[in-house]
Amino acid sequence: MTGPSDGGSTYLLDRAEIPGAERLSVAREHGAYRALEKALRGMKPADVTEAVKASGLRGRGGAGFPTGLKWTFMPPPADPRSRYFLLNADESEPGTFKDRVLLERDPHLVIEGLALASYAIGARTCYVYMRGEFRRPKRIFEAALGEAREAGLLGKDLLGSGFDLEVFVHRGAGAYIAGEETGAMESIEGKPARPRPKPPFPAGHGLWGCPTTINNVETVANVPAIVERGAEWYRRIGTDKSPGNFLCGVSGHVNRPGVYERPLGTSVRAILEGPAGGVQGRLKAFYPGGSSTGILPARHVDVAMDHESLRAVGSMLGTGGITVLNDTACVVRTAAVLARFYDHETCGQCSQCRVGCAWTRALLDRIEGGAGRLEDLDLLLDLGSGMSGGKTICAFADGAAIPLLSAVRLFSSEFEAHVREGRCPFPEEPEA
Amino acid sequence: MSGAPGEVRPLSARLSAPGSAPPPPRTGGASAIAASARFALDPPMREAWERALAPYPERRAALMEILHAVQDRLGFVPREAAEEVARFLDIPDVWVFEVLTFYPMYRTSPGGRHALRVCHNIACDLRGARRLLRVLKERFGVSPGGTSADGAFTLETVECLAACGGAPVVDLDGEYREGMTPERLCEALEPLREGNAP
Ligand SMILES: Cc1cc2nc3c(=O)[nH]c(=O)nc-3n(C[C@H](O)[C@H](O)[C@H](O)COP(=O)(O)O)c2cc1C
Ligand code: SF4
Ligand code: FES
Repeated sequence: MTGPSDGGSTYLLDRAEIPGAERLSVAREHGAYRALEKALRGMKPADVTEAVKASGLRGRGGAGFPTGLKWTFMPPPADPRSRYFLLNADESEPGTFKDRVLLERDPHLVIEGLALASYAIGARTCYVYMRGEFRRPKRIFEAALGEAREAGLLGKDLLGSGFDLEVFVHRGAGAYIAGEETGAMESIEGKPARPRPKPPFPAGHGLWGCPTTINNVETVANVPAIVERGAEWYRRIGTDKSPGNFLCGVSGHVNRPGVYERPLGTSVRAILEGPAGGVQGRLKAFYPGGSSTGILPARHVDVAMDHESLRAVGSMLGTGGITVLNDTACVVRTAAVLARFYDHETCGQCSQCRVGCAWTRALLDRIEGGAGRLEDLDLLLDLGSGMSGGKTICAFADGAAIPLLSAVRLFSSEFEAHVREGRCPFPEEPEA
Repeated sequence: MSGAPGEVRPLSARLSAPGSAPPPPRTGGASAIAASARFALDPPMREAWERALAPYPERRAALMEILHAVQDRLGFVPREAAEEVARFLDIPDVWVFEVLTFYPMYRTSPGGRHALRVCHNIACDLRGARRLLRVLKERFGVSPGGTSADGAFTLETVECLAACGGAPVVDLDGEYREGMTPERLCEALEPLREGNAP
């Protein structure tokens, strides 16, 4: 877990590297809550939103939506309803494991970020939706919340500013779909996490019908640096349209899997050959941003990790988690593993999604098991296109179709080899 | 790839083509929730339930935390507890049952003394999760969804645990064990077997 060795600016994992940074005293020695003090003492909520807007920060939860713009969707302060900030700590996208690092190693950065976000949108209650498996992160994060509250950094009248903020952790219970924004809201209300049709959008009609803004953990972790050092400083990092650093989780067949902080726009090759210590064996393919992004063959290894560059090669930045496959790994098997995942996790409200997930899973299992037929490939493409294009209540179905379609299109010869040989041509266990 | 150009066969016809197994029926529902005489709403449990209400403007929102509290104590949520929760929150039983069966972390029947959850999603699959599952079957006689004969381990396969950098990952009684090998897994489990308990 390290920042760039090339002397670039880091601000996400600096404190996470310091032993004991989960304790308030250590975190404060290393700059925690300076941005919150600055904002509460000298900035109006709208000034904070303005700074974040000017920074160009885009959400790190998968969709890359401009954060400052999202905050302006909240109704004006005159609206009499309660307002909520929801921090998305569900982190369930396969191949994604960055938010957990922040929650465990620098919880005060996350708390400072969520306090700034809540201040900006005028929320006096913040819910942190944390996946149920995160027992350790929850323990550490709640201890940090307690220390912050003791010190007057949360609770009533923060730092004498008149602003109140209560933060509560809501434990999930193992459903990926609860990470979808309105799924998380249903879940907090005590219901199955079935996403809501949009509109209405959460800013107007979120938790209990009240104005709600939701952001990812890593997104808010960017905010203290922006408030403290300014939008202009921030914009110098990363690319024009994708500014800032991001946390890149590298997993699969590399020598040093882990979470690394790099500027957006860094090439996949620089990450794999730099901090990740090189590919084990020969690179065959990679998912650049979690399981809901299109798989890319090795020839794209020089692509830059930013929204625009990845879209240009037919994939997406997603959550910024790179999963690496070497040439002993089977793409069909990986597609089958993901199809099983999506079939297990679909909430079942939309028929395209429910039926599509069940059938793509069955077909991929059949092909991987050696009993597939060539026409199954057309069928997979048909099913995938039926699931994609925004026909469903939420983006889950698109997310399930994207890795499937890209695998069938870009690795059709591998699928055909399974059918021709009547078995999976790869070793049972990839060599790492 | 096949199919005459322009040929359009209805999807349903192609899906039911010979050799394609239909998706398995989904199981679950309130009838799958085990009854147990073990449940009693004692004062510590009632306190935990009361505490769970505090963060929310509506009672119903405390449901998930209350179910966690029951499961943390009993290892699963028996039907009697679910019904008691419904009374406590003043909501219909079915609202409790639907949450209990929607979220996979909740158990509705008792398991073994130790809960073993092996991630079988992409990163773990690429780095040896299958080997772990094989050794669990061979050495401990336990398969996904099952409990070992000595009652020591209940095994589940789970989806990505957000620890892919440490793949393959096993969650043993709520604590992540990263970078697992068959050897290290056996080492961790042997002392927990019946008769080996300290
Ligand atoms: C199926 C599905 C699962 C999602 N899971 C997560 C998640 O675990 N964590 C997260 O931050 N965002 C997740 N998202 C994205 C959220 O809906 C939402 O866009 C995000 O939390 C907004 O935060 P951001 O603007 O800061 O990125 C998911 C989206 C979908 C469609
Ligand atoms: S797309 Fe899938 S997961 Fe999303 S609401 Fe529809 S059925 Fe549920
Ligand atoms: S794939 Fe196993 S922890 Fe992510």
